[in-house]
Amino acid sequence: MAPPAIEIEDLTKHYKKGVKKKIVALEGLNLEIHQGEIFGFVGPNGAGKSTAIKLIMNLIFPTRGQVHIMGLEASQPAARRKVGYLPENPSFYDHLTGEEFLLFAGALVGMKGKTIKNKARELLTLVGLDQAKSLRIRKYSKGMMQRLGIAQALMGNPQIIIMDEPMSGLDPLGRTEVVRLILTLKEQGKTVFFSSHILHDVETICDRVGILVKGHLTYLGSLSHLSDSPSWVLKLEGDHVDALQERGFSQISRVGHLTQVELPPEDLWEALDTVKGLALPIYALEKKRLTLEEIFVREVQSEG
Amino acid sequence: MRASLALAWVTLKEGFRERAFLGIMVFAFLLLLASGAIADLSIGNIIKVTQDLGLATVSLTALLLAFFMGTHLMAKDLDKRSIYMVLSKPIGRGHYIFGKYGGLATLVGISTALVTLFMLITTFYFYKTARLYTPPHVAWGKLILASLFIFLEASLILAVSLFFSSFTSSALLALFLTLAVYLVGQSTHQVMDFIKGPLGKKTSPIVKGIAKLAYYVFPDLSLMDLKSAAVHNLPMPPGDLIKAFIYALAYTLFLLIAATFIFKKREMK
Repeated sequence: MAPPAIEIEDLTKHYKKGVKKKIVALEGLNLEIHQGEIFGFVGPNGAGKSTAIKLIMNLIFPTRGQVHIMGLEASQPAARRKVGYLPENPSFYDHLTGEEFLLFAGALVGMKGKTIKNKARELLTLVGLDQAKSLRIRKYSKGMMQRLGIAQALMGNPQIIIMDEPMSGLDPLGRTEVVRLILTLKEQGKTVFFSSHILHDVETICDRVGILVKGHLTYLGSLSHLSDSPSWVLKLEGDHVDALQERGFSQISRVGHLTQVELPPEDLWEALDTVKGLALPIYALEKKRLTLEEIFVREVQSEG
Repeated sequence: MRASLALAWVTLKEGFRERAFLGIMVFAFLLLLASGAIADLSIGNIIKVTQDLGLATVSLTALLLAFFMGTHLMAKDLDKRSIYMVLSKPIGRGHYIFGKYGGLATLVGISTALVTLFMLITTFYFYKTARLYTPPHVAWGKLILASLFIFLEASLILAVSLFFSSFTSSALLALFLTLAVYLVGQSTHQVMDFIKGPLGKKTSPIVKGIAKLAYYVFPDLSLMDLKSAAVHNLPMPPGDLIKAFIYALAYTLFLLIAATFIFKKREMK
């Protein structure tokens, strides 16, 4: 059986503050990221997302617990051969041009000769920086830096891509570009693990999400599982607010040309009988889905 | 090895593009150009003074670069977090230290070579055009050897600066500590000579102990100082030169290994 792309066991990070006080940045994180999935890591500021990512990348060291990357201990350089990493607010050697920087990144992952140059050019095209390849990085915009960061993470063709806030500071166009890139990576069979504040993007592209609050993983699962609610939403064509109110329905709203009624499961059959009796045109009957934002707020609030 | 070379190359490029580097080099060339005029004031031995000033300029350039570039470029990596990208690649932290050192030492080496060349040209010019007094012989080979040992000394100082940068993020603190090591390293030999001499008998045992400890812990930089011997064309016994060369190399290597050991335990917060 193939090992998980990333396996995290009891990962804990405490920082000392003064003599006695300690800050819990991350507590007992257990997580398995499967090969080929897109995993989104969400949480408010200071929740421990970047700490977890830095621990995976061996930039900081755990107080307790361990991380394995494709079965290899994360502290081994060989494990990092499997991973490409985009740091939060990336800053690179800005005296280099984009192309020089990718050649440097390629050399660091052990690429040689023509392969390195060809790969650099291929990636510059993929991230849309081929026109800016000879420009010094200090002249790059935020979006260009982010795209260059993704390109350097892909040098050496790693199986896993870890990105810390890849959408932060990008305009909607830039975000769409990054989302497209992530989906392309998934199509290529790569595993993508990223943290983000942009919940809409996480919701759109992730197979699974983890919600981290105050260093604890409070929710983990597929989005469809996470966002399922017991309620139903009945959508009717036209304006039937008054007719439904007369029949005692309460959670009624108008959305465009539709009238929507939210129904608890026990009221569903009775509601359908009423609608049938009134001969109202049914547009759709759907399971109510919570948005990630609603789930996120619920989790954060429940943690106090 | 490949990763260290790549990092050395990037560091070298970064060094060349730093304003501080350009400033130091321009200052060195201006000082050498002015050395003729300054030497003229010495009334008499212009060539000796030109050589003195020339070697002092070579030494100042190499040391300034070692002090500032060594502490500044590594602190910049940590401060701007460009180090995250490097350390996320499949390389050991030792590769980073040795790569950074390789690039900086090459930068100091190239600069020292350029300033030495310019010093030789100016010395040659004044040697040929001197009116009042011309020495029978300028020890060109010894001047070059003295420059080589200046480079050796600067390389050791560079290793000291990387050693301190391996545990502090403050470029200023690393610079201050490196400067302290340099000043102590310049004088331990003289202090030891004093203690061993007739006046040393009156020195308290505690002071003697501290002096001995400093002598063995801090680098003895006077071993690499051949400036006076080169200018006065004094003998340079090959045994002493080899001893100084091996000493500088071993001390530098020890510092880089120690820096790697510390850096491996350092968290990139």
